[in-house]
Amino acid sequence: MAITFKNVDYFYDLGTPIATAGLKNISLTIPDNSYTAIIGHTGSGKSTLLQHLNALLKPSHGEVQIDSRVITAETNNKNLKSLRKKVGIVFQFAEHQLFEETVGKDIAFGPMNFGATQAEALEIAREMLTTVGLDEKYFDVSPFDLSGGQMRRVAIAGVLALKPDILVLDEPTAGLDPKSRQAMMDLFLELHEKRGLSIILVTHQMDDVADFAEHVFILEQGQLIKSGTPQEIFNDYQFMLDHGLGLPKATQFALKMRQQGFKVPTLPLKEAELVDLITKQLTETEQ
Amino acid sequence: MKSIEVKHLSYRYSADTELVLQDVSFNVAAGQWIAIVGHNGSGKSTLTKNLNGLLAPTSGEVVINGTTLTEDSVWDIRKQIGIVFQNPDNQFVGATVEDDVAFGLENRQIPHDEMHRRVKKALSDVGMADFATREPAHLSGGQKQRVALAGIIAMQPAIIILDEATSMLDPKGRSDVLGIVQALQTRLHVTVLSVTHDLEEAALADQILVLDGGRLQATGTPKEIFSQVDLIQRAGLTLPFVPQLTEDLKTSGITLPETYLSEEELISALWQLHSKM
Ligand SMILES: Nc1ncnc2c1ncn2[C@@H]1O[C@H](COP(=O)(O)OP(=O)(O)OP(=O)(O)O)[C@@H](O)[C@H]1O
Ligand SMILES: Nc1ncnc2c1ncn2[C@@H]1O[C@H](COP(=O)(O)OP(=O)(O)OP(=O)(O)O)[C@@H](O)[C@H]1O
Ligand SMILES: [Mg+2]
Ligand SMILES: [Mg+2]
Repeated sequence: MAITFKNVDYFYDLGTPIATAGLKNISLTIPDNSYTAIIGHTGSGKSTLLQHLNALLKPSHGEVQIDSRVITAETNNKNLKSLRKKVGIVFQFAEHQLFEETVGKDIAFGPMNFGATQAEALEIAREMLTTVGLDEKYFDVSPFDLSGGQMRRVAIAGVLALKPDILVLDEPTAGLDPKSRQAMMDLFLELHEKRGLSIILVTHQMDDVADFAEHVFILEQGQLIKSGTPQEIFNDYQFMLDHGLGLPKATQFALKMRQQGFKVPTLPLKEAELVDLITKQLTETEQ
Repeated sequence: MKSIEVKHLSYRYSADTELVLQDVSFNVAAGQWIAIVGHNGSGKSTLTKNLNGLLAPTSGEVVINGTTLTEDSVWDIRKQIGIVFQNPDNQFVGATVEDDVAFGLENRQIPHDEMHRRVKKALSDVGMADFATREPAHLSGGQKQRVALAGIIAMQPAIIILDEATSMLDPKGRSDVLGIVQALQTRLHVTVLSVTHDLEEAALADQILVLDGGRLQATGTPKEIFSQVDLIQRAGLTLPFVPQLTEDLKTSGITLPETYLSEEELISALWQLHSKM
């Protein structure tokens, strides 16, 4: 299921005095079975863009094509159900999506809404609860009696329970502890590699971009200002710094080594590459 | 002077559930920056809510600037503490961004002109001056967090508690905001308690408190904490980048005498090795 944006503008409160541009003339393609990162400042339009992926927001101008489905300003809200089953979105404040009396019922809501029986849905819910690393004892607890990170996991489980083809993640690991964050990122990667899900990830963590993404889009003030592979965009580190976007920690460290006088022929993006680089530097001079 | 004293604090949400804080004791001197770290559900937010009286201890005691927290003292104590919660939407009260930032000041009898000046300054500090008349609910995630932070920056309380308050900021925004809070800490001797999953941020604190399953497992300087790899593992945490890199370099045969926390320290240690060869 490829996704294409053609000249998409989006205005909040269109036609009122407080109209604000969320997206300006966005054209881009996200191929089938890809892992895409979308990055950019606070307020650059990332969440606005994501909400176009299941027609929660519709372009003010231009069109979004998802698979064979074309969405424009005129698209009506009927028949969006199949799209919403295919495209699962974990929202930025995913905790707000929780509403049921128990964690189990909350996760089961999606599958039931799309036709599963209650028994089937609860079965899926149990499986998903463990998948996101929560103990079974939380199944019958109210989702509102959980810690922030626990709520977020329930919200992620609810989206995974839909078994979507495209998984859209808006800063999914904010609020997760460091170990769970790694486990969750590994889970998304596994879904991508083993089950062929497309992943679209909004993140402020440049390490996640370097470690997981195949392609990156950079937004600024509602516009697409750059795109490329992680290697391409981080090689242009001056651009990243000028735009206040930061670098993977390994890249940043290597740049500082270069300043110190070390030879750094190619910039590493991942920690393992940095370890290699340093080990080589310190053994080659020995000979 | 002691800014915060926590004595044998235990807490449970209801009589038939287990304790989520167990016999937690620690002291914080005024003007210190404390990072609180721990796995999801370890009790961090519960602890912060016990510090400003949103929750009352099941047993034990909280003392703020020398006053024990009780039903009578809670209102005075709250005036000395500014909290930014984990989820900014639960915190907005004003119809506009500027009203919201002003709200905390109105409760503190600050003269109108002074209030106006502080609100303006705080909003420009966090880069939200252009959004003063917008509705807080209709902002992006990171913009909401900035507004919530502006609220306490304007308030200048004696104690600032941040509960994952920068989790949705872009890298530059995050370091800008932490810089502003640090400036308040040094200029006004504000005590800062920051709950965070960002270990790079924790590494900058004066002291780190490690919570694990409702118990305070360890307190110490970042260097002390991050040199205890076992402790970190058990508490469900990971090492920050530089200590992790140091460990991995040691594993691949490079001799490094200690644990480094900053990039500069490690690079200069590596440069020394390089020069000796
Ligand atoms: N409901 C809304 N009504 C009006 N304007 C909005 C609304 N939601 C967002 N905006 C505005 O649209 C712009 C883009 O917001 P968006 O939420 O897409 O940003 P973002 O890139 O996701 O930022 P962040 O990293 O802070 O989450 C911002 O200037 C924001 O203030
Ligand atoms: N309102 C509540 N009612 C009952 N139990 C709760 C409530 N809020 C939290 N808990 C439980 O108390 C424990 C501690 O929660 P707390 O929110 O303090 O954790 P935390 O360390 O802040 O976690 P996180 O990193 O996920 O925010 C958790 O096991 C949680 O499920
Ligand atoms: Mg957003
Ligand atoms: Mg919490």
